[in-house]
Amino acid sequence: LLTGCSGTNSAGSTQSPGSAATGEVTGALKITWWGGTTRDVKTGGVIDMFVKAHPGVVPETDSPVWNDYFTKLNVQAASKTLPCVVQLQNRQIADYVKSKSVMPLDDLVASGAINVTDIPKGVVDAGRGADGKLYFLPYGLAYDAMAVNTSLAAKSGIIVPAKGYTWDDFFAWVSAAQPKLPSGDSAVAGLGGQANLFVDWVYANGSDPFTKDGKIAFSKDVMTKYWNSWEKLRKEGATLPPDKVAEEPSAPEGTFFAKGTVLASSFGGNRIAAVQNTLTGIDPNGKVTPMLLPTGSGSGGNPLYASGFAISQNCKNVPTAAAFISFFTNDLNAGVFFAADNGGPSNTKVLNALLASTDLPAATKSDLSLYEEIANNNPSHIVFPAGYQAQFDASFKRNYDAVSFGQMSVAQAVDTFFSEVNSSLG
Amino acid sequence: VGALVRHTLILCALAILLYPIIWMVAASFRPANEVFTTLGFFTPHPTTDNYTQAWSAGQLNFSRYFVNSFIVVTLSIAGNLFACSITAYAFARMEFPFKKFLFALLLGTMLLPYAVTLVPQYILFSRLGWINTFLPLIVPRWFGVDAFFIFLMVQFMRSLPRELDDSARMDGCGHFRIFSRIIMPLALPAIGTTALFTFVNSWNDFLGPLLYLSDSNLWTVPVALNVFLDATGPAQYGELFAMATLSLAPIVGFFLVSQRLLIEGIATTGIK
Repeated sequence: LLTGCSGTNSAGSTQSPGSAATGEVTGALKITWWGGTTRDVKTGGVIDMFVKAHPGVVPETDSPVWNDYFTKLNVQAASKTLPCVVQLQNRQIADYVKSKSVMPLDDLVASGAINVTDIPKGVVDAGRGADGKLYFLPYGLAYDAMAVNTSLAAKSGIIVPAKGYTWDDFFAWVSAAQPKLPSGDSAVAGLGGQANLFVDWVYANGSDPFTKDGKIAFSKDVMTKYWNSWEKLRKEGATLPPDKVAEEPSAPEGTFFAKGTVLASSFGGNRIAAVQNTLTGIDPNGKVTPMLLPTGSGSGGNPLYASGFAISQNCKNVPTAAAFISFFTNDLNAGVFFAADNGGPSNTKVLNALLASTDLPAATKSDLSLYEEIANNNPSHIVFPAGYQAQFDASFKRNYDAVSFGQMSVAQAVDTFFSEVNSSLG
Repeated sequence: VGALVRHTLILCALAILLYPIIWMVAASFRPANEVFTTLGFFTPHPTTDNYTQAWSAGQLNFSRYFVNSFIVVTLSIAGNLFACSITAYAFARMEFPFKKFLFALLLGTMLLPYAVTLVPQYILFSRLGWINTFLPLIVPRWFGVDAFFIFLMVQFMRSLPRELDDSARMDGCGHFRIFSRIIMPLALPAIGTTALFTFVNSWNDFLGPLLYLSDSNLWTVPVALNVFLDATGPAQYGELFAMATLSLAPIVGFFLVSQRLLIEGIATTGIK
């Protein structure tokens, strides 16, 4: 049933989906990933290297950008016509596991078709679903970083928090920094509505944000406490005002932080270079310094957000798909060529080669160094439930917006969030 | 004085309406890290780099995307004009069983949201082996799937005096001659309106090409424009604005050429 219509994917292999396929690496292979022009060139280059190593392989590629990617993927998943090799993240993998669109890779790892020897176990595990099976092999790891405009801090006589700072330290620091800033500047961006940062906060405080069956694991009190902390800062005038937050473009390089009027904000570690670029355009001496997120009361540190390739259930050329995934993740030359374009490389040999490279921009190196620090320190990840992106993320932002624009109290917003999300998650 | 005040107000309103477009055009001439730094138009470092870099950067090839868009748009317009006009003629001038029911059914398809038919359509085109070709974007137009344009033409044709048909029939014309020699020349405003709207819809269509065209050599302009803005990588707003500026040119040009027909068409059919 699942192989009903697999488009034009006509490889010679006859393995049934899900089997530990060990066959010839040849034939047509459809590959899809998300990314802009830079990543297209780099992924295309790695695919060329793979084809050079396996001349019988005929790749067919598709690469919409992030949002469009999932629009297209959902139509393909619903019609059981997914490409063989599909890029996914641990934030969405549960959706595709739930719809039985991707196959477990454990047998392929056991058979050696997919090599995980040089990837730390904690990093491989980021590709596992709630059932413990491996559904995608992480090749790039992102994390949320706290970025501070250190030139603005120095000008205003503000001391940047020391390493190991806690969330409470951070909130107190923001509060104390605001009066020292030039009029019109804000101490922190409007981060109260960012779901990923809240999830990071829950995680740092020692608990998993989601239950095994994909429901919300934190209490209403926990969420109320978090939003109250942000509301306190907003009322003090220490956060970017909500009307300005609403007009910010989603790209980090277009934010007020990148324009130099906000002291601290949070971005994916791999976006700092682009933010620095905009700031330099405005103030040649402007300097953005990325830091790890604040720590919490628990042992959970910066959780990793993994991107990697999965194999669709309707794939008819599993051996080639497995060989490609393994090549993309592990081949040293391919990894160096790709140059950590989608987060820190999961393969430690690739990571070390990039850190030793003299060609990499300074901002990318500092991103990789922070990633290395996380990866070396018992790396961990969050198992996201099905519906996280469509329900949790959207509802979190919508309800916090209602609070910050004065349309709801924090208690009302938390209640609304819980009733909206718990009915549709998992 | 009254006219002066009125014109000044209109010009002010026009300036407000055009500001975002002019800002976009101005921003397309700024270096990448200055795109968002000002609400004004001018930069001390004007550059055409955004245009040259975006036109054929990496795997991108905008000459090809413009050609692809023109192929899809031209064949879509031809298909819509052909299919909608003969269908409209049948509904406006011919008598056949269940005519009213079929017309209601046709109008009913306008109520169906695109999202509802998305997956079944994708499966259909996938089984036909049409994925990664222009066929899913063009062939349906030749089968009269745009109920709105059929409705528009039916309304227009109904307003043409039937006496013209009668006299043509007395001169020995059949349906084909009445359609081609009498109705079509008189329906020129409706044809112009259909052509213009099909042009705009087809030129701006994003979801269709996104779903059906995977090979980057087949992309149309809107799909290619989106490549500049990936949420997980550096956003290239300068290049985006440069190519968006160029992509507006055909629409503005086509509108200028056909606006007389459009306004006539709207005035005659009473659609406002």
